[in-house]
Amino acid sequence: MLEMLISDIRKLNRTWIPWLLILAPFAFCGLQIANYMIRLELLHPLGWKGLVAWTNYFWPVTLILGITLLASMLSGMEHDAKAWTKIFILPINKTIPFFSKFQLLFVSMMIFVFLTYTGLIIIGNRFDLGPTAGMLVAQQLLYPFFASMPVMVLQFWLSMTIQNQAVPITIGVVGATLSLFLAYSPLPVLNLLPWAYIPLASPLQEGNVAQWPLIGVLLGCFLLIASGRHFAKREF
Amino acid sequence: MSEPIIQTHQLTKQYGKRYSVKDLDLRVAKGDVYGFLGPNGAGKTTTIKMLLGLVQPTQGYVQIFGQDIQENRKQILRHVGALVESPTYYGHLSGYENLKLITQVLGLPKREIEEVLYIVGLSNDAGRLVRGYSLGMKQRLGIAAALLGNPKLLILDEPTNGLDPAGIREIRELIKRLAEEQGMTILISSHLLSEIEQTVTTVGIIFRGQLIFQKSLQALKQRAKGRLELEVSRPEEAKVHLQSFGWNPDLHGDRICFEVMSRKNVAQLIKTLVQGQFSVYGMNSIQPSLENIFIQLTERESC
Repeated sequence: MLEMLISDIRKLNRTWIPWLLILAPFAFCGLQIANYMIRLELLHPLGWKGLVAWTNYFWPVTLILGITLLASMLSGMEHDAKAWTKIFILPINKTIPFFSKFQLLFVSMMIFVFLTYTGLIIIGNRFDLGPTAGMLVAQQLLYPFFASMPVMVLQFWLSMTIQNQAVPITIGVVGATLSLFLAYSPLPVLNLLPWAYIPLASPLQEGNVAQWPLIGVLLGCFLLIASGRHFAKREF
Repeated sequence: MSEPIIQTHQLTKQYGKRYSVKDLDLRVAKGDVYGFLGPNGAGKTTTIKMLLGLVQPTQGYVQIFGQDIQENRKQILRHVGALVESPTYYGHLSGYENLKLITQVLGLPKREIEEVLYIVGLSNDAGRLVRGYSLGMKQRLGIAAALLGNPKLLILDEPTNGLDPAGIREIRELIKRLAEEQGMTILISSHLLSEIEQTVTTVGIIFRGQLIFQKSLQALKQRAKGRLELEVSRPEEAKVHLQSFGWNPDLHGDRICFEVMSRKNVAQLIKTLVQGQFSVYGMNSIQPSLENIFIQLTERESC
């Protein structure tokens, strides 16, 4: 598994993917910097909670789009290389390529989350929002991240199995657009759809927000195993 | 008979109602260079995919090194190198880096990369991005990748596809060398007999999913007969004239055809014609062509 993962990381050499992982948190934080520079007098009194609230506006959509794009880029590389037949005649378990790639996606998204966290902490301190609310920022970033696991697995599975990446990307964009509607809809049934977990997991929400990352991880793991098994049974 | 490396039993693959491969009993002996021939869509690639465990057979089973591919997939594949359909390559990586990806997973030493690059003649281009490779070079990189791990069995699916004559020749030489120097058992598929005629020892011909011929190249060649073609004036009359002297000519258009005969007989034949006041404009000795047998075999099946 580790060998496969290292091999997968080597494939990123000379691609956009590592740069994107650095660029995206910059862009995300840049938005907040612009926001705070333009109307600091309005936002400053709201303190760290205000910054977290502004983050919350964009974070679910950013997460879903980021997952969609990254999953598509990582799998698209294999589709372009026509690599599946080669990968599946390697003397390794057929599920390994799938799980190795998913690990890479997961870890890359973690890096994205970590860099965004660092950026937001710096922003909060530079704009003097009071004593650092590290825990709140971390929760705001990590709860939705863990809640996004089912969506991550779904996007990843779609990208890995469908050669035409327009399909998973379209589904990802629609999912990102709908996530807020699903989360805030008056019909509680719609909250059960995995896209809704992500906005609902913000610590600014009322009630037991910690249940969403928990459900996300549990459902995500279940889906991951199921999709991995499906992938290993594919014929090429 | 030497031990079989590949043996399939009633191998069948059905897609919907259509049989892609039906009751295939393939047998590749140790040390063979097996030419797996068939027109496009005959089921070559499907068969190869079943050999490698990429596709599950509907019926029948595959044994490689005497083991079932479905049961002992990992152990078998450790000793099999293969190039299926088009070669796999990451264009944004160099040739060396592409091979490194595989040695990384297989846990092979770096020197193996240099070895296989040398074998396929890509040592000088190893540092270039594969995006800039020619089709022939990509194909050779694919073969290099298949050679990693020093396999006992090499399976190449249409390795000459899309190559120019020089490229085809390179691949042919390469396969010959691998069989002779490394003693590998090689299965190579193609839709063109002429491409692999000079390389293979055994031939299997698949047509519409069924194996219609599986014997040595010699056996196949014996089926092919050459002929002698003569271009003469007044061919109809010439035929009658020759018949009266006991010859047995065939008339194809305005040419008179004979089965292959000894040089002495040829001289006698021409003498007969000239003495009968016929002008001989030209003579052609048509070599036995495997292409023709191939067409004969496949045409008979389609009737």
